[in-house]
Amino acid sequence: MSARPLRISAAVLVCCLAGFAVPGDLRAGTPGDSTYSLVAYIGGGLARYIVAPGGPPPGVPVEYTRTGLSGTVRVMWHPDHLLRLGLESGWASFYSYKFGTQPSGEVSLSAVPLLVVWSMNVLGVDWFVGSGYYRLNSNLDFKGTVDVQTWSLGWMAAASYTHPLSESLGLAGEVKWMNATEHADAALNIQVQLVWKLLEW
Amino acid sequence: MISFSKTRMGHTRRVLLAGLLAGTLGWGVGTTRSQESGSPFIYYPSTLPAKTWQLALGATFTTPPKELTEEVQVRAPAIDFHALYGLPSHFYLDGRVISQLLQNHISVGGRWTRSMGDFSVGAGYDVAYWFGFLTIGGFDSKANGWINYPSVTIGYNTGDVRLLFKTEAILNLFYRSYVGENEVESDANTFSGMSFMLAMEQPFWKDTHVTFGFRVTYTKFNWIMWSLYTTFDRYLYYPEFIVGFML
Amino acid sequence: MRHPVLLIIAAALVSFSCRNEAEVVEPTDSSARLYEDVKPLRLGARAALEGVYRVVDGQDVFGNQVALKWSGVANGQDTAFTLSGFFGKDVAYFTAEGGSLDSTVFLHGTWRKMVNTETGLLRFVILAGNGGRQLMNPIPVIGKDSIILYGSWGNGSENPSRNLVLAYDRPLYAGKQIEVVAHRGGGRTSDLLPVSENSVEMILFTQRLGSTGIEIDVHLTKDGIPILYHDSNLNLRLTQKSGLVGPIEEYTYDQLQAVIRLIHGERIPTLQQALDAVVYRTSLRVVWLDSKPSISLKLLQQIQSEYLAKAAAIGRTLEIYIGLPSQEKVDEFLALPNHAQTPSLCELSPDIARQINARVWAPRWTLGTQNDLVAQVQSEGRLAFVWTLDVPDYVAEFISTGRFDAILSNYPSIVAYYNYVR
Repeated sequence: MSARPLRISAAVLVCCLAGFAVPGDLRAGTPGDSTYSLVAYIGGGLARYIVAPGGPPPGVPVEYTRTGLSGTVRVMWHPDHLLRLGLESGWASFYSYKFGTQPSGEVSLSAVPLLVVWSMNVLGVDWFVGSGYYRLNSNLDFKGTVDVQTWSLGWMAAASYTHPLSESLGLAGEVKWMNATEHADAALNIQVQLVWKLLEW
Repeated sequence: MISFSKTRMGHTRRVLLAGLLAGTLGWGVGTTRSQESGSPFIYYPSTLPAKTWQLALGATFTTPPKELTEEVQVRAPAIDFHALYGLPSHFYLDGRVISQLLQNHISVGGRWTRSMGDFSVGAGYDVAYWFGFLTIGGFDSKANGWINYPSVTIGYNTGDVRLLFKTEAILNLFYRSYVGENEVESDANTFSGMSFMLAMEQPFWKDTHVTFGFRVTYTKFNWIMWSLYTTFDRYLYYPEFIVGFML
Repeated sequence: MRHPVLLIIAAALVSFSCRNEAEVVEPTDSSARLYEDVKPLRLGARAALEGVYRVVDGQDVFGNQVALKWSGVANGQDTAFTLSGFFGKDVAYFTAEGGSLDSTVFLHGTWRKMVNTETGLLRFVILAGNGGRQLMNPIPVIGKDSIILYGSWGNGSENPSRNLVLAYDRPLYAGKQIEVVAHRGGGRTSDLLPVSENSVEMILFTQRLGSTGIEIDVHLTKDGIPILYHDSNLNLRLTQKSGLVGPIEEYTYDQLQAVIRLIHGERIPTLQQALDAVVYRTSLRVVWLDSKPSISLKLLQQIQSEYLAKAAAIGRTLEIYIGLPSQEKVDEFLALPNHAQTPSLCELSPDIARQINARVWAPRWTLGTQNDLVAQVQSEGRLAFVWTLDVPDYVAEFISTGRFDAILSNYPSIVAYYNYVR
């Protein structure tokens, strides 16, 4: 891992920890409320591919990149109790590798999640669990290029802390585990997100 | 793998089980829903007042193991209807229908529960009959069987949320399948596997309460996969999401 | 109190979502070098050793009888012979190699139960007085109990120490044979075999399981090379993790060779590599080419014709059928020149099989034995194959009451068992 992603990771982590130190209050639909709201989470950060990546056959030289960018778009319905329901998408870079010599090639893999998400606020932290599909995008550059997509079953789990900026706006730090189970792909994400109460009724 | 033989389940046993099933589903029609604590439940081990009903409608989403479905990886949805009927002395009856139209699972069982502060425990025993039929696309197949599920449940009430952990054994009592004019039967009482479920029950919006659960099953035979005619004598893994709305 | 409970439940949830993939670790025999001095058995001795044997000791694990059958794989001028035993219990089988020292026969190998992950080492000895001397005769005289295999078996790589004793009972069934056609090139990856499905290695392995034929799945790469692969997409079920996903026909042959390996490390073979292995290295009699949507039947027809000629040139008995699983493929087949004389296998109705003059009609096993339809098809000079039948009790029923000419199975050893013990 190069120094730059490390510095970015550290900065994001500090932001997250700072967020935890400030009591957050941008929570519609806490128990006892009679209001409903729609809350959007939009943000981005880093994705680190956590499990063993795929590669060329044994014996072929290979060089991996396992840290990349990721983004999240999520809309949650906050009813008048603890449990919330929503949809999540976004994008995450999983990993890429260069392989072989004369000719050499390159493979990269990324994913777009499409998940149904449930969440609860416990201990002042929003906990998210999602299930659905990942749209995997694989790109090969070796004696021509191939750009192919496929679906994979998957899930995600995340913990997020929101620091309120105004009545309807907040800044959140989120740690998220993405898992496309069918292809055994998993990434840990650290993101900063803008939390926006879109609608309240 | 189920060991097959050509013996049949006793007629008397089947009539008794069918009677129990019909009686439970029909019993007490017209009584109203009532909860001792005010918070309805389906899986949580709590006391249901005698002669009261609790109903729930939802869905289960099972991911079959790739050993069976190979290339196809889907979460197979099924309709899930649950009915509880309160009995005296911390007992209640539990009836459940899981249906994918072409394959169906109907169970009836008894529960006993006990509360200790925020904790509670329950023990139960369910008797299930399943059946499936497939007569399209190169299939002229049907199958049915009887399964028993002894279970233990532990619950913890946080105040906002009721958490529960349920474990049950899967005992296959009888299996019969047909393909065309051919038939195979087994009445070996077989321990097929175990399942473990974590779930929470809580209000979702207004007075609507939900069950939200995750269940894993390790079993050598899962009725929902009957049409694949598994031959594996291996414990395969079936993760399952459960969502239920209490009526 | 609530927080620790939540943490415990969260930890339990994560642990439940983890699973261990089942695997079969191939046993290794540290004493294999002790067998280096034995002399290979002559053809007559090998033929005499084949038969149906009673399991005298070891019935609780392997059942009460076993069918013993030799198979061979050629490597240039040499042929390596393997003795296989097909049991009726738990789809168990063994494979063994060896030979004789004076008048005693020594065999060593492994056993496996296909329905689960049980496997281990196995050793046999046939003493001079228990059939060993008779097997050395130019014309062995074999009868009930004239050959006794004293054996031992163990779990995994442990030294075999439990008894397995086999006594000759009768010859293998010699009536009309059912072709034992093995699925996916000879065996399925999900059955945890030591080699990958649809590989050359599997084609060379499958006769040990009792196969007399194979079904192979043929796709076309982006640059027009026919290859063996079952699924539509690259996935972890069949290949090692590579980062490549999606339809296999999106990739060229060179790209697949550079990045993709099958689950046990083999290369994806071309159809020609697979058929070379069949023709020149095995004695398989049937090849069923399952044509996937991407494959051109015109190309299949050319390759089929080429390899039927190659087999005929060396005196090999071999049938190669173009499998037609859908109406689209039937329509494509009808547009081929000389299609009525092209050996084909129709998975649709007997009427369509008749319309295209298919040599074989092949219904799904879940329609039952269909004896009347099978008899009608056979009366027209066609063969009837059934696919893909694995359930042992139904295999027994289809062989004892059915009339099919071949059974396609993921468990060729259980089909071979019920075929030979009749």
